[in-house]
Amino acid sequence: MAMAGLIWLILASWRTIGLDKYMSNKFPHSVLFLMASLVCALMTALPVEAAEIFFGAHSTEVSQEKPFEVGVFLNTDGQLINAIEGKIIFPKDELDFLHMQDGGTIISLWIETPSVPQKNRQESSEVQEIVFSGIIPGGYEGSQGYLFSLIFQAKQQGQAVITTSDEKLLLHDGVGLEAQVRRAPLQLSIEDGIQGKEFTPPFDGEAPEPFTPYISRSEDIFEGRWFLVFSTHDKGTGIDHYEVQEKREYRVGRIQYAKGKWVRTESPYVLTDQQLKSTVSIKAVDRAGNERIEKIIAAYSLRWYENYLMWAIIGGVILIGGISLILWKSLRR
Amino acid sequence: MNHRIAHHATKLSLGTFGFIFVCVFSIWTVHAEDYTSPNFLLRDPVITVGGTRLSSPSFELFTSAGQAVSGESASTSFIGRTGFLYFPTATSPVVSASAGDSQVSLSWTASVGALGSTVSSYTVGQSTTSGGPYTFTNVGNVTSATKTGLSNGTTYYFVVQARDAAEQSLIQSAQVSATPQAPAPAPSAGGGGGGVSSPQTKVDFSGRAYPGSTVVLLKDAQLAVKTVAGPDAKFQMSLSGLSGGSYIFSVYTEDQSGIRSPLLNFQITVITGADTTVSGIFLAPTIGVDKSEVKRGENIAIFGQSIPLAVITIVVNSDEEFFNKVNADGNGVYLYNFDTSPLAIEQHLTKSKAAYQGEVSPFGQAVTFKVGAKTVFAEPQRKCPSKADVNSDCSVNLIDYSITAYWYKRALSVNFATIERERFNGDGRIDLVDFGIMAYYWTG
Repeated sequence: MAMAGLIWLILASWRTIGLDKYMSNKFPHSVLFLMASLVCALMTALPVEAAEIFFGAHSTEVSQEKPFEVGVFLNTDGQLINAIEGKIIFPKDELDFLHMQDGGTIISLWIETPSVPQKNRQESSEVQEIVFSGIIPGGYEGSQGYLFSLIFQAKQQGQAVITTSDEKLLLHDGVGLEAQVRRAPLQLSIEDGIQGKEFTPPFDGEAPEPFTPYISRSEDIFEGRWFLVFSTHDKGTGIDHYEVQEKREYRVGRIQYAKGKWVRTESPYVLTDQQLKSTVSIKAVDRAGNERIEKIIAAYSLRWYENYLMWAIIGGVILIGGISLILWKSLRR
Repeated sequence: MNHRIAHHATKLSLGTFGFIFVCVFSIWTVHAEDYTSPNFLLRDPVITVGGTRLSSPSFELFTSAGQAVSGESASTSFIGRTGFLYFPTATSPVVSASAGDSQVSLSWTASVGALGSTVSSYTVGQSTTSGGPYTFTNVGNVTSATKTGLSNGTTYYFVVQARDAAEQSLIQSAQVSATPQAPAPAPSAGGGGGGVSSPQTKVDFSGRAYPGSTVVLLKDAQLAVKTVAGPDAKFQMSLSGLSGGSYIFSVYTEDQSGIRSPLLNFQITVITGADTTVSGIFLAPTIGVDKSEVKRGENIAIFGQSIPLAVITIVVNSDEEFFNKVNADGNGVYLYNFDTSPLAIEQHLTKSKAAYQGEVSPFGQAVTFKVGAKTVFAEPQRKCPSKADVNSDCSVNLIDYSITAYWYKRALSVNFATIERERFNGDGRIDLVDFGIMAYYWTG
């Protein structure tokens, strides 16, 4: 590439440095042009190690009536890549983005799950963007690494180009050097009555993967309060959302009472019970509605006077005793 | 000038070596150092001019033009690699096999060529006898293949060979086995009682780490299972209760000094209800140096741990690369005193890889040292990750990730700005580069 740049520089300064006069004495202009073009083509066509984010679709001709799936893949071109970010750009007038799924993705942790940023939704721009970023600890090397799928519905006939922008792929080198990236847009032709493959959600009867949540505290975030972290994968349709429940469990003998409501949230989650006396449950829900629940048992037990169940029982006993006493006294009269 | 002796897949027999000795001694001109492996001893090999290749089904003998001493020289138009250390090689593929109905699905990690070799294709060897002989089929430059038409209930053994453009085998994987099974019959409607239990989805891992080292397996970057390698550095572990689908597994270990090996990642597609076998995991050696700066001309000790009796190749990167070879001892420990005389006065780095019984590990992490005017002894290597350990618990895991993710594209607090400076790239913000550094130092 540096050579190609040098040649372009020479061509650009052709007249300035007087090369045109010297060379035209030696060769005809047409031959010179052909030679320069060939050299440039050769230089620019030299194989350069460059990774690419590319798209896969069942067909480049899609129907206006049916939703269809576009897969987003990573080709590392022999390099070990451990972090990735970018934007997927598509025309708003032609395509309606329905949702994404990432079951089986090579990304271990999403920094930003593929989604349309709020500001882009409100903009009057002709294109819509989907931003994403994530990491693969240990790195990934391969030519068809599955990142995620986008489900679209075509809005009107015509041509639509789905492409990438602001792509960054980082080498697994400990310092985060960027790999060269090559773009590979996907051109779609939207027509009426095409018998293309309609997107149907894959059958997913399996719950998300088992996982281990952790409770931690750091002076660096949330003013040093206890927070919960969790992450898992779903190999079928991908994770849809997480819910957390903090539940204090009151127990007297065999009598047990617990209460706590499920809250839809993301990791990290600041615990409401900073005394860590609640059992914390984390529910991972996939896009097919399958659930996996993991629990962290309360770190500390309740003190006797915090046991509301005991107070309720004592109160109940006193109340019943009082009523009995009143009844007994009135009966004696 | 040198002879190159490469025994690819098959072990050399005594007769073969007898033949090689005859070849070598019949053209005796100059003595060189003895050349050994666990299988043979080649005493006083000859350095001579010429170039040829002899082969039989069980050996290959190369001679080529070179220099009178071991080393490497390069120019813009050629690279001459001399000495008995140098012949094209590649890292061993880690192979996984999943049995299905009358078929076995194979996948493997890409083999990386070294010393001028490039992997152009793979062949899959198949046998019903452990250890072969195998029937090889070229499957092209891919990292997966499905063998169909197999008999259910029969155990099949597979190896994968990485080949160069000339169809020469560069490396062969460890053997992996699988037994195809007919699908379990669906439970009949009505009736009751009994019932058919669905087969468990399981993955078995095996390979080599360091003697007695703790081997950690991560599943999609999260800690899944730990085990301890035997005195021969071999380890085995199983993971069950998985869903069908694609996983990224990572394996690492720690040497006797507590220094971690780099993560070795491999992607595997697990089939629901099938038992998948992953064989040939070969973790890279650890490496350390005794001096952070060394006076030019003095020796620097390069050491680390791998598997017992492995042949360790140590590369010292400079304007020209220096390759050195040393054998690990019975505990897998190696030590090489490198003479820094030929090195320029500047920063250098060194890394190592191991070879044992035909398998070759990837290169491990590189360590740096400076060649200068004085000698400064290196501080003991940190056992904890030098970067990305945000909460200083000696691990880089989901907690560090979550704390860091909180500051992603935000203005940093004074406290966290200090952490960012010390444990990330110090540019005063948290962005993808910091997460790339975290992914490199990840321990799970």
